[in-house]
Amino acid sequence: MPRARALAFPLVLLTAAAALTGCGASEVVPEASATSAGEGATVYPLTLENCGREITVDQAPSRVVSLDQDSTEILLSLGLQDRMVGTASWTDPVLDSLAEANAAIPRLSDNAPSYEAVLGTDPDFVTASFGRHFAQGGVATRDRFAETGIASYLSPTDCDGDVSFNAGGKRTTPLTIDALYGEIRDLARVFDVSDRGEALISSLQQRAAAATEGIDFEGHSVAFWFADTKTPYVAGGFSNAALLASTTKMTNVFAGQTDDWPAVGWESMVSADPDVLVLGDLQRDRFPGDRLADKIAFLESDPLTSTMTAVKEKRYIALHGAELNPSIRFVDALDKIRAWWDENGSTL
Amino acid sequence: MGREREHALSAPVVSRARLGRGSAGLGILLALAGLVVLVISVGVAVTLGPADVSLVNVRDVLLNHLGLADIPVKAAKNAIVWEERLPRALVAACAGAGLALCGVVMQSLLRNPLAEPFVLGVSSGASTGAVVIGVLGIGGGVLGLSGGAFVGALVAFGLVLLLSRFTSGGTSGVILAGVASTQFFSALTSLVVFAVADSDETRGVMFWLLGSLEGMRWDKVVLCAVVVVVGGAVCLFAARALDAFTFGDDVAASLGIPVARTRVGLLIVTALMTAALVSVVGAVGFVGLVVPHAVRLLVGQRHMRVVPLAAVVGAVFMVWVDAATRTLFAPTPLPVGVGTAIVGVPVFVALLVRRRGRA
Amino acid sequence: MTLETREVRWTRGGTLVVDGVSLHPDPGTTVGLLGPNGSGKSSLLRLLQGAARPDSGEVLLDERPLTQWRRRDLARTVAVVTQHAETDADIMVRDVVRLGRTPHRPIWGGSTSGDEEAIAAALERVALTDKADRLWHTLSGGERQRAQIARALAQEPRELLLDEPTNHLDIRHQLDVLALVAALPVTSIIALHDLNLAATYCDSVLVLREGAVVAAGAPAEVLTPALIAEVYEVRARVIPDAETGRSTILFDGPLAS
Repeated sequence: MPRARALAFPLVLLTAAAALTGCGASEVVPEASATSAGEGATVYPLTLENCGREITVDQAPSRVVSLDQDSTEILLSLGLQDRMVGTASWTDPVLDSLAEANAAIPRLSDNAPSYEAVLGTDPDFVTASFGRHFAQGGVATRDRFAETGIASYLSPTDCDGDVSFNAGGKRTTPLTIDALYGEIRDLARVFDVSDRGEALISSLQQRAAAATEGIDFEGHSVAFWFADTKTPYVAGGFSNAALLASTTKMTNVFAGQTDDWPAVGWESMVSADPDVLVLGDLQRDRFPGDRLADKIAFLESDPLTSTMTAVKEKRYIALHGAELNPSIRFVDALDKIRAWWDENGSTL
Repeated sequence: MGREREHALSAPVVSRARLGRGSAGLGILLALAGLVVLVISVGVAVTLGPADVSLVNVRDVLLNHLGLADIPVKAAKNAIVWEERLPRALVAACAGAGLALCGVVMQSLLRNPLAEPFVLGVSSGASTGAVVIGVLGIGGGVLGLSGGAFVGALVAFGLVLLLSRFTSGGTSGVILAGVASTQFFSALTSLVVFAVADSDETRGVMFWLLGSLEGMRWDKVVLCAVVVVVGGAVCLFAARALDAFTFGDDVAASLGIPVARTRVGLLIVTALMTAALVSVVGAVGFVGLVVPHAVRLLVGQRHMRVVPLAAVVGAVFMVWVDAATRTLFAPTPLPVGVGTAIVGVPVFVALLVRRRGRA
Repeated sequence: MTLETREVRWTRGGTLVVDGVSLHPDPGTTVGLLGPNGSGKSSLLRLLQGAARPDSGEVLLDERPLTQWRRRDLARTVAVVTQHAETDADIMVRDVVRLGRTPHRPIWGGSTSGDEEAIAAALERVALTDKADRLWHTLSGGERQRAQIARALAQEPRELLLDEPTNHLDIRHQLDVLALVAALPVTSIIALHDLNLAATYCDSVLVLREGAVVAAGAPAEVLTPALIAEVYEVRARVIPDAETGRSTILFDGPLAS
């Protein structure tokens, strides 16, 4: 059977080649590196209650992957860039003040990364701001991460007990700023940088107080428009955006909605006729109307929306996506509202 | 014994036959009656919605815009009635009429009771076009979502025409080519959505795949109206040929119809009409499938009657379904395609049961 | 003046299905096309109705080739009844017959005054007037075939082509249909399987085998035991009936091979 013989030679060659590649030295598994010197305030092993789970950290993590920008910016603000090995889900350019620190950290994805991409960085800790990453169809469940010895942390701004709002749960109470401060404290404890944590919180509180001093919209109405010119996504009553409104004494016209960002029809907004419009200026530029300029162009050219008072008077406050999320940028949001108030508050 | 059997068979059929008899004037009469119902439906639909608008408001706004009065109306209410609800109801009417017309042509031309406007791959192609532009961001500046959808629809239809040359030709060949094209473009849409889109985009795309009447303004009304009027005229002219196709290509040819030319011509007109409508409102299903059956049940098979009545019934159907989906889940807008499916499926089942009962 | 073919040859899918057939019926007569399956009867009918073009030879109507006729005019002159017409539609018998008026109606499909009269006359002819408002589906096989004939008659043709119209019918209905067709003043060309029916109802017959004409003429002259053996490969006897003057064909069995 000449044919069989003709196949035999290449087969033998292939097998030999395969065997040879298996004959290399084994890959080196690095020893767990010595812990970076912490402040010594945290006692390890540390057990923490986080979104309905108990997480245990044996030592300060040194290889953190942050799945969301908000979480990333907290970690960077705590000076933890040397311990970060990956970031993901960027909605806006990084804060200027953190740009240098961020530069060396690999960006795994502009959106959600794959499980493999995360594991490829060999992390020992994973943080997220939004629970959808830990849900079915997300990156991986927290259990799955735990199985490979990776502790996970979800921002308390997104959960009530073990229910994550971003992953589908419903808020029953409005978000408060304490949840954000709680997140900062938790992370600071985990990494044994509690002092830095308190310093960050103080500075945020000071900036917030300075920004809101003297602002009183006296209950004037506001609507937050995140994206989409066909079915606008607006801020519901329990969301972080609603928190911005309540802090500055604005009345959110969609306060009755319990979702964070429900979609509505334009006629609902037109008939509510808010005094001020907060417009999301989104970097992603994927949908019609993501950019601020596109939003304004739409509002002013559409025969329906152009009848709104806020459009006629051009009462727009522009905020970035990250500023509308529960993140340390809420103070930037307050600053921008302050700036608008100083210039235009008297016209209301 | 034969005579008894004949009597038994004729009994349940008589009442329906009564409608089917009579002059072609019956068709005109029903169409006119339908138009009246349509006008009333649009009027009522305009009062429905999450914002508080009364019948009096609507009347005042209409009188103002028709130049018959100058009543002061709140700017918001005026805008909601004249710039949002009225154009939306009119687009719904046009889309319903157009899709029903296409359904009639498809079912008669392809001699298949399950045929409907999307059988030629048009809606799948439109979705792919929209997704490529919306999610991948290719060519967005030039075309926009609707333009992309239209191009995608035409490409899918082109594929159908090409493929049907390789199949046996004739109606089953066209249907097979349509199935292939639909599946291909659906797969492409899914590929793009799963590979690239995040949850926000996916939701946006879903809205589009199911049809949405959000954001309809007067420019869309004009476009849809022109498409439906022109397309409807063509369908009416084709009524004679569509009748002739009842018993197949051979009989149609022997009746003097240029079969191949007529078939291709009607397929192209239907595809263009569907592509245009889908690029404006998205892929709204079930209208093109169910309305022709319902109309035939009422007035029989003659296309001179079926065509105008299908347009009117389709229009009224869409106006009401849209009004319902708008108000039942206010203020969250539900895609109108969800409504047509929820209503359409039981109606379709009822029609099937009646048909089986008769056969 | 009638539909005729002159030496037409037609190859279909690589096979020669019609081989030099010339057919010249006398106006008003009924011509039977006979032959076993595959002998080219249906193909010849397709050529006659203009559904296909022959490779050589001519098909003429009124001395003009079919290719020179406008489709509409052709449809007003030649009507076709196929073996079995099927439809999914819930169509009424009257509307089935109305289809025959298609070539007479203007393009926008409105009815002409002659329509209702032609339809009524056609229904009367096939004795389906009392069933005109029934659904076509509810009719028996024979009645459906008669409805199709009525549809053909509503075209008011001069020529009628029928492709095995009596398949699937009871003997009663077979006789009904053929008697009806034979009595019509139009020139009819019928493809038939049953030799006895052909002998009874046709004025002349054309016998085909493998696409070529084997014999043509009056049934009594053409249908001899020798011919039947040659074409159909069966042994048969032809027995004349003194009373009617017609002959009956008795089959003794297949030819020993």
